[in-house]
Amino acid sequence: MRDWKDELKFYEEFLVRRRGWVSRWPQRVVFLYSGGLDSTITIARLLEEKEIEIFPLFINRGQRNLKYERESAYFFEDLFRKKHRNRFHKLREINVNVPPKEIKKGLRGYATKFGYPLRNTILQMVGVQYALSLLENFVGDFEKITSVFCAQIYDDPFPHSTLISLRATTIAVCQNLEEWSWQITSPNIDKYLNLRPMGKIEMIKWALKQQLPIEKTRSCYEENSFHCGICLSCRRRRTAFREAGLPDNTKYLKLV
Amino acid sequence: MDRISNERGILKQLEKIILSKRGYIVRVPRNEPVIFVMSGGLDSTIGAARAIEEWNCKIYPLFIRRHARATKYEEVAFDKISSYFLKKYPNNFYLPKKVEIEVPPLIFKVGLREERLKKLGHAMRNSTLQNLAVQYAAWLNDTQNLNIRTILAGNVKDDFLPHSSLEAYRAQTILICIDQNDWKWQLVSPFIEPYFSGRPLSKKDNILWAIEKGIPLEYTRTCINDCEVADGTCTECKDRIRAFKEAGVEDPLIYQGELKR
Repeated sequence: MRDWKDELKFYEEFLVRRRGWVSRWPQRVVFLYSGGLDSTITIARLLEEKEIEIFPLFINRGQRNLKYERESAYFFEDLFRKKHRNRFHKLREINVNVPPKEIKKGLRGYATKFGYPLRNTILQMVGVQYALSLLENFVGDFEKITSVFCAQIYDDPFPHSTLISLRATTIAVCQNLEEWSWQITSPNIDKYLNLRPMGKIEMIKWALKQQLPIEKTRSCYEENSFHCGICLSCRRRRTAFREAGLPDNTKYLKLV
Repeated sequence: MDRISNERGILKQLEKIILSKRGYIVRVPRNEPVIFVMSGGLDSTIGAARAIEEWNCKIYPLFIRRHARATKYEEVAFDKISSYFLKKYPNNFYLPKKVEIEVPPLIFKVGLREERLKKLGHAMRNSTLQNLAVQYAAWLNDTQNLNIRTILAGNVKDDFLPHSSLEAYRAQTILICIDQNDWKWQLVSPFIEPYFSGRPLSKKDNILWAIEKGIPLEYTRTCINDCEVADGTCTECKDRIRAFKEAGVEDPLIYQGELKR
């Protein structure tokens, strides 16, 4: 295969041969929600622009900034449920250490360069497990959920954040469950979902236009109540606000 | 399309992707360091021994406390086997690593239908365990300057769940390579690879091989239930009893009651 576009096309043709489509709009979806800028704005967009029912899943994966990600996630849960009570379900929180704490410390150096290996994939698989448990435990008439959404965007730097990775995860999930209706994807980058793709800058512009209090979202990896301003995630956040030419009301510790 | 031809179609397509990316589908990790996800069970125990005896692999064993019903008994079995292998293969079997993570999260196991579990197993369980093995490999590569690119797991040709099939191994290999941005990675079972000579191998084949090599199979744990002595009635126990019977040798395990034969 010559390049990533050829490779992506190969996985998408594979899915079309198996089920006749690559991705499609679901009625219900499990959404991996971190309380971050991208996942918060993506959920807001879905609620505003699409008729979709969202089951948000917050994973306590042993992150240093847990307290602050959680604060953000519950703040927006409250906000979204005030406006879309029937379509934004209660936030489900679970504990799964990814990577396991026995190896996480030793992986920090690696992670700064490449991200934690297969972290997103493992979290997406937890999303699949949540979708199945909803089916088995929901009282009354309930249509099966076979979609897990995350909020990856084109600007994400690691290979496990790409559309190719999401397509490969979709294939692995369908094969494992012998059911080809599953899709693991991000509406921000999946052209087949027909939601206008957006990068971080556009997302910020959209959110501010909607008067979404995005300064309450959490990007920083560190264990401070303020954003550190210098970690990779803070730098990407600051750059996006600057390039959008919009005010950044985030409270930073350092502005280098 | 029936299930078999359906699966062959999937396998062919998945292998086409791997072949186009690296020119081969799978290779024997001869003389190489590998991660082996070991459960204390029969298959992963024999798999580790075979990978050492036949391929001279350097095994970095990984045990995952996944909070299954039998995990504490599996861990006892794993400890005994590890002690035995550390003495028997001092140059090939390295100090075991244990990590703790619920796979799947216990809260999501509540209410799952037995019928579904029998047909498909726990959703994405094997895949998650294999992904954790990649994390361990990355950790070793980064901190001990190793070059691990192979994850071994102990599925045999008798395994029938979709997540134990060759298709699952190929789909998972693709996923690992994409996420690691490196097409040298592979997920391999020493038993089911049709590209390796004398494969695929069944549980019965492995039992005969292990007995010839003097592997202490009495240390292994097969029963999935929360009981110190294997109950002899769960699917896994029945499979083991059947395989020993087919091999025509005595199972050294003691089972509850008179259910052994």
